[in-house]
Amino acid sequence: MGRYVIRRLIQAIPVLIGATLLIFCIVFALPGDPVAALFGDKRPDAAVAEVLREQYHLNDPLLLQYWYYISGVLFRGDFGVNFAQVPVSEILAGKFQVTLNLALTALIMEAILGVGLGLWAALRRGKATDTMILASTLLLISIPTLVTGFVLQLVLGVKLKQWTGLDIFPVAGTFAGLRSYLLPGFVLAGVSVAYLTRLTRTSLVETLRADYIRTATAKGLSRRRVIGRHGLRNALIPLITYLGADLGNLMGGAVITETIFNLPGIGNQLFTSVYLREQPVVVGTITVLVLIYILANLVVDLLYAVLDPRIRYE
Amino acid sequence: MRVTKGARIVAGTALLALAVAACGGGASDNGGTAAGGETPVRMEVGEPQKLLFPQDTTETEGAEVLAAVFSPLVRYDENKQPVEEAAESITTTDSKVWTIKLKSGYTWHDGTPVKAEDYARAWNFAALQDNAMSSSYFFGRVEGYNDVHPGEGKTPTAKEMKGLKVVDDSTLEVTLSAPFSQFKTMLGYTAFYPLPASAIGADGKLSQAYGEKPIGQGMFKVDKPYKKGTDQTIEMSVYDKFPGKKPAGWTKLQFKIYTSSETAWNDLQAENLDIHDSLPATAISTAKQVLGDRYFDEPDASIGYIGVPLKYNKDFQNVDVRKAISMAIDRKTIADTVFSGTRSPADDFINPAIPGYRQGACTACTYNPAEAKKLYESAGGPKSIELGYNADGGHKEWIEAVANNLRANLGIEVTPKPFEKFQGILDALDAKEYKGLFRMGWSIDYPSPENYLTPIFGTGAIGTGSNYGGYSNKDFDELVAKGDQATDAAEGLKLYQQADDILIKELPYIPVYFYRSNFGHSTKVKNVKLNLLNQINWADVEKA
Repeated sequence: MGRYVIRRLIQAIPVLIGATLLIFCIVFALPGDPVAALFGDKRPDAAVAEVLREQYHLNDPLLLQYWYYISGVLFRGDFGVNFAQVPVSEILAGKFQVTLNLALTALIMEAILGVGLGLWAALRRGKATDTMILASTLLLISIPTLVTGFVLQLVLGVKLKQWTGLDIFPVAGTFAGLRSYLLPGFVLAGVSVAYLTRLTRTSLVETLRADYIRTATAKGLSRRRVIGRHGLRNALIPLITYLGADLGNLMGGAVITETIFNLPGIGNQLFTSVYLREQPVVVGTITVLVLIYILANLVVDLLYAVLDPRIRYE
Repeated sequence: MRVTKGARIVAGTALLALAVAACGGGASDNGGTAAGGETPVRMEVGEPQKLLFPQDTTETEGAEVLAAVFSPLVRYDENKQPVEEAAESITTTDSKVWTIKLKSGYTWHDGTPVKAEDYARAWNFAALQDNAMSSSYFFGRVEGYNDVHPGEGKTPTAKEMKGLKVVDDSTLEVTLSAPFSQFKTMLGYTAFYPLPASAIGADGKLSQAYGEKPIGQGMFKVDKPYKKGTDQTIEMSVYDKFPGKKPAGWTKLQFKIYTSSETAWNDLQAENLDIHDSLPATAISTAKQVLGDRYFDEPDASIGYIGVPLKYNKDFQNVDVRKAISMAIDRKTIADTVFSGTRSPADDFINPAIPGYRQGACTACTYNPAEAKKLYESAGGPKSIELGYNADGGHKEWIEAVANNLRANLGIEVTPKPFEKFQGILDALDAKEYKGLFRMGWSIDYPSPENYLTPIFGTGAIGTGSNYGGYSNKDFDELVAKGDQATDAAEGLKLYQQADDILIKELPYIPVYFYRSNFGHSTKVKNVKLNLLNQINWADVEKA
C-alpha cells in the first residue's frame, strides 16, 4: 500500500519535468515579441526593450532560458517573476486559493446534484421523472457556460437584489466569503452535473440488473439497503473516476466563469499570462495543475480500493 | 466491510487536506466595504499592467490609480488649457528654458515636504536607459537625454540629464534641446510626477514595497499594500495635509479591479460599484435607459485609423487612391452600428477633445461612394487589397465593415488579414512580407494637437516613433517645428493646424473614428466629471 503510493509519486517526477519543458517550449514558440506586447499599439523605445529583453533572458536560446528557470526552481525554490516583477510564487499562492475554493464548491455541488438526480432517475426508470431529468440535463449540456453565467448573474445577482433588496448572490469578487462562490460554483458545475447525472443513472441501472442485487432482494434485505449498499456502492466506481478527473478540469477550465464573476483565480491569470507570454507564470501554473491531476488520480485509484475490496494495491 | 485500511487513511487525508486548503483563504477576503466605517466611493478599474510606479506606467488603468495618489504639476481646465496645480508657476521666455516653481505646502504622505529635487530624481530615473522605464521617451526633449539614453547597445555616459537643474528647494529649471511650446501641456502626465527618495532601494532600482504602496503627494494616500494579481481592490483615504481642494463629505476611495467591463456593468446595476468609466458597447443602450441622467457620453482623445504603408507599397502612393478609399468608408454607420455609438465618425486628424480640432476639416472623410468609385478608377487603384488588423483587440468587426464598404463601393477585392498582435503587422511590414493597409490607433500622451502630428507623421518618427507608414513631408515637418518654437500658444496652434491641413490633403493615414468615453455612476454619488486624461476629478465628486 505505502509502497504503491511512493511508487506513484516517484513516477510523477518525470511527468512534471516533461510537462514544464513542454510548456516552456510551447510558450517560447508563440509568435510575437513579448516585450513589444507590453507596449500595446506603441512601438517600444528600442533601448528600453533591449534592457528588458536582457533582464528576462529573452535573447538567450531556448535551452539556456529553460535552464535559468528550472535551476532557479530546483536550487533556490525561486519560481521566477512576471513582467511586473511580482514573484510567481506569490501570484500562485493567492490565485490557487480562489480557484480551489471555486472548484471544490463546484465539485461538491456536482457530486450532490449529479449523484442525487441520477439515483432518482434510475429508480424511476422509464417514468415521467426520468424523462424530465434526462431532458433537463440535455438542456444543461447544450447551453454554454458563458450564457448560464451571464443569465444567472443578471437574474440572481442583479435583479434579485433590485427587486427584493436581498444581497444573496454577489455579482462579482470574493468579498462575501464562501457565499461568493455559490453562483459561480453552480455555473461551473453545470455541464458536469449533467454528465454525472447521466453517468450515475446508466451505471446504477446496469448494476441494479446484476445477479447479486436479485440475491440481496431475495434474502429479504430492505430496499434502502439493497440500493445503497449493494447497488450504489458498486455503481460508484465510474463516477469517482469521472469526479477525480473533473477536479482538474474544473480548476483549469474556469477561465470563463472566473472572468464573468471577476474571481481572481488561475484561469484568468493563465489567460493573461499566455497572452503576455509570461513563461514563469504559465509554467508555474501548469505545473501545479499537473500536480493536482496526478494527486487527484492517485486519490481516485485509492478510493477504488475503499469501494471494492477486491481491488488491492501491493 | 473489508477495506484496506491504508487506502482509507490515505484517501481520507488527501480529501481533508484539500478541504482545509480550500477554507483557509476564506477569512482573508473581506475586501468589499470597510466594516462598520464609511462606505467608500467605489471606482471601476482594469488591473494595472505593472506595480504602481508613475515612471513605468504608460497605460490608462495604472495611470488612473496613480492620478488619485499624486498631484500633477498642471491640470487641464474647462478650456482644455493647462493650469498650474502642484506648481506655483511655469514660465519661459523662449520655449527652451522652463522655470518651474513649486507651490509650498505640498508634503509626501509620510509628512516630509516635497522638494524640487524629488522631481529631478524621478525624471532622471525615468530617462536613464538602464532603468528601462516605459515612460523614458517623454524626456526625449530635455537637454542631455541622449547622454543618459544613447540607444540600443550603447552605454549611457551620464546618470543625470544636464538640462535638469535644481535651483533651490522649490525651483526646477528645465532646458530643452530645442524650443517646444507644448512642454507645459506635457507636465500633467503620469511620467512627470515626482518620486520620494524612499522609492528607490539600495540597489538603485525601484523598491517593490513602494510599487505596492506608493507614497505620493496627492489627494489620497494608499491604505495598505496592493498585492498585484491577488487583490481585488486598491484602498485609499484622503490625505489630511493635502493643500489643494479635497472632496466634501467623504474620505474613502476604493478602486475595484475588473477583468470584464460587462461584469463591472452588472455590479454597477446592483449598486456594488459607484463609477464605471468604460461601459462596454453591448451595454450602451441598456445603460442609457437604466441610468438616465447618470449616463454620460463624452469625446475621448483617441483616434482609429486605417494605416497606409506608403514606404512599403507603391500602389497607394497616388493621393487620389487614398482619397477614394477614404470616401468609400461609411464612418457614421460604423460608429453607430458596429460600435453602438461608442465612437464618432472622424473628420479631422486632431480629436475633438483637444484644442485645435475643426469640425468637418477632413473633406475626404465624408461618405461619397459615387465620387469614390470614379476617383479610384481614374487613379488606377489596385484591384485587390489586404486589410491587416490585430485580432486581440476587438477590431475584427469594424475592419470587416470597412472591407465590405470598399468591396461594395469600389468594386475591388478586399481581404481582411488578422495578425495575432499589433506588433506582428509592423514586423511583417518591415520584413516586406505584408504590403497591405493596416488598422492603427492612437491615444495621446499629452493633450496637445502636436501629439497627433509629430509622433505619427513626423519624418523623425520613422523607425523610432510610431510613424509606421513611413510618411515623410518636409513642409509638414517644418510647420510642426515652427509650432514647437512658437512662444505664444495661439500662434503655435495655428501652425499645427496648418500642418494638419497638409495631412488632410495628403491622407497619409485614413482617420475613421474618434473614441468616446461612456461612463455612468450609481445613485450614491453625484457630480462625476472626467478630465482631459479621462480621469475623475475626485475633489468635485459628492455623495448623494
